[in-house]
Amino acid sequence: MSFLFGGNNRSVEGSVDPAKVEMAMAELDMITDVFNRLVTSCHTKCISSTPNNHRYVEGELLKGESVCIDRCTAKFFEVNKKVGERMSAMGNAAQSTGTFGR
Amino acid sequence: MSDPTPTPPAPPPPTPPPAQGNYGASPALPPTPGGASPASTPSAPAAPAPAAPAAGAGSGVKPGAAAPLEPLTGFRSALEHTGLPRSVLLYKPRLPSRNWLIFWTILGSVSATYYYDRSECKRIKKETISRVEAHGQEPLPGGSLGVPRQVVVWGGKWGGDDDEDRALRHFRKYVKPYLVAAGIDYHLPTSPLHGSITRQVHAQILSTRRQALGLEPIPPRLDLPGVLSPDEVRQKELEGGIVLVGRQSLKEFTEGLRRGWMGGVDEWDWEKEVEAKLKNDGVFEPKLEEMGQVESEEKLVDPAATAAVTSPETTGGGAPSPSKPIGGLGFLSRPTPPVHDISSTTTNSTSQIPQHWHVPPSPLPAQPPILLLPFVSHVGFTQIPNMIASWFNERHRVLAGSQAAIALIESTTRPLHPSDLEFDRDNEKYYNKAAKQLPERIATARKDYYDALAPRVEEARKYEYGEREQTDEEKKTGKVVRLDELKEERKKKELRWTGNEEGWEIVKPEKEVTWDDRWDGWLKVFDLSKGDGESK
Repeated sequence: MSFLFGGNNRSVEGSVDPAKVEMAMAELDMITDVFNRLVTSCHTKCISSTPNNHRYVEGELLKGESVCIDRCTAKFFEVNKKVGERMSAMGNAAQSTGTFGR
Repeated sequence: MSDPTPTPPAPPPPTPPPAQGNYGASPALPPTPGGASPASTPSAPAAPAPAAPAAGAGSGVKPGAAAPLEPLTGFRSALEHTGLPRSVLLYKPRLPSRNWLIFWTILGSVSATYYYDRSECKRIKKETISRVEAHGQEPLPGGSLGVPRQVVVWGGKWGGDDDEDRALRHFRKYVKPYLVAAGIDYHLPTSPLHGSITRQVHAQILSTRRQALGLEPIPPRLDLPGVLSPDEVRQKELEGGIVLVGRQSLKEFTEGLRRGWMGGVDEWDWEKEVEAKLKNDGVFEPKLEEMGQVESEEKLVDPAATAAVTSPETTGGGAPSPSKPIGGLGFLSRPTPPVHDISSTTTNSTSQIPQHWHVPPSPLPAQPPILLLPFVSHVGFTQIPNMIASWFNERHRVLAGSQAAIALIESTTRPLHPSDLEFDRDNEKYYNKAAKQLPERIATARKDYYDALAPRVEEARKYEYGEREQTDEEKKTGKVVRLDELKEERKKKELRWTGNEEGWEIVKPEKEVTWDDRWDGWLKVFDLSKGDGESK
């Protein structure tokens, strides 16, 4: 009994719920993933494809690249949001009807 | 006398006409098929006949059946034995028939026109981009946290065009590529109704003025690297610019400037203003049906009366502003605003604000320079020829766009001259009938709507007061229309109608561009003429 109580007490004191840690990790993974995809796509669009011989001529961002990146990022998040909403709507529909998608 | 002799020979050759005239008639070209199928047409050519026997006898291969063939001369006779078919050796190019000629000519010229037009477009675009792209390849001042130059683009709704995005699409197609190349950011606020630009500009200016006077809290600034101070923001704004697509945008914009800078600094919100007017017009009042005819007459009159009251009051006095999302401010309709009408609010706030605060600032604060971009939208059956013509003349719009973009990018400005107020006036004649009848159309729509609304309101009220049960249909769908929903729906419709009505008063062709004599030398425009010469 004491073993059981002790075990319980420790977990309460530490207040680390493995399920929560799991969720936090998953969320972190998701955010990292989003960030990586954002960097890849906007880098491909705005930096790498700018004039071939001008690649990384300057240490700083060029004006054109900067504008491109701003807009690219904004667009990325907007699309991300929309897709997320749509996915969650589909998920809800799937839960209620039992089938995913249509 | 020597003339007659040459002329007779001319008539004899009547043979060419048939050859050129009818393509399908094979008798015109017997020699060519003759080589391929000699047996079938032995007697057709009369002239070759005498010479043919010699050829046939000479070859001696098929003496009996061989058709008489004309002997080949010159290099043809030399090539005859190389195996080239006789038809190839005797090939004579001819014009196709008249109908084919017509067909090919039309097809060719249409496609050539199209091709020329688009290749010109490409050339202009390429040249302009190569001219401006150096701007985009400068390092950004301030490093990765720097803020690039940004222009604001106003594209007003074109009268009679239900597609309110048309003007902004014009910008995106003809000017945006150069801004992208030059590394200039652009902001495209939407303007879904006539007068939306006016209302947005008015609201912005008003809030700037009120913030400066301390009537409105200044939004807190995030203290982060890369966030500009208000002064820097202002500076950036001035360096940027304003693009006005088409004359309708110019009209709406200047009207917004007038209302914003020249009007008072009372609190003003367009949606609240419209709602206040709707509040007590009796459409949702319960008494009607008990009180009998008198009331119902009054009610019938009401919508029209509201309409009549709405337009003059708003256009004249206050001014409307839109509207980010039209349905977004629903919470305003609930309790807060005073139940009576705006006049009470206005007097209240006026009493608090010292009179001299309402006076427009005497040197008006500097405005970003304005770029005037010509724009026309052809709408309607009668303008189909214009649409076709403009489809073949894309290059003119591309050129105009590129000149505008160059002026914008290179920031060549000059003071606004009163003659600039004539900008794009010619294009106003293209407003179609639907546009010019907008007020009447709105009045009809209003009347129809209110006629249909009355019974629905009645039903909803009865249900809410427990005077009736759900109907079968309502039970089936499980949904009953409530009064609040009707109110919300009606508010949305009224906002659209009122907004468009007020806006059309600003935009309509008979109305001149708003101008105030105190504005002399205040506004600046981008000078297109300088970019002109060099870009050619």
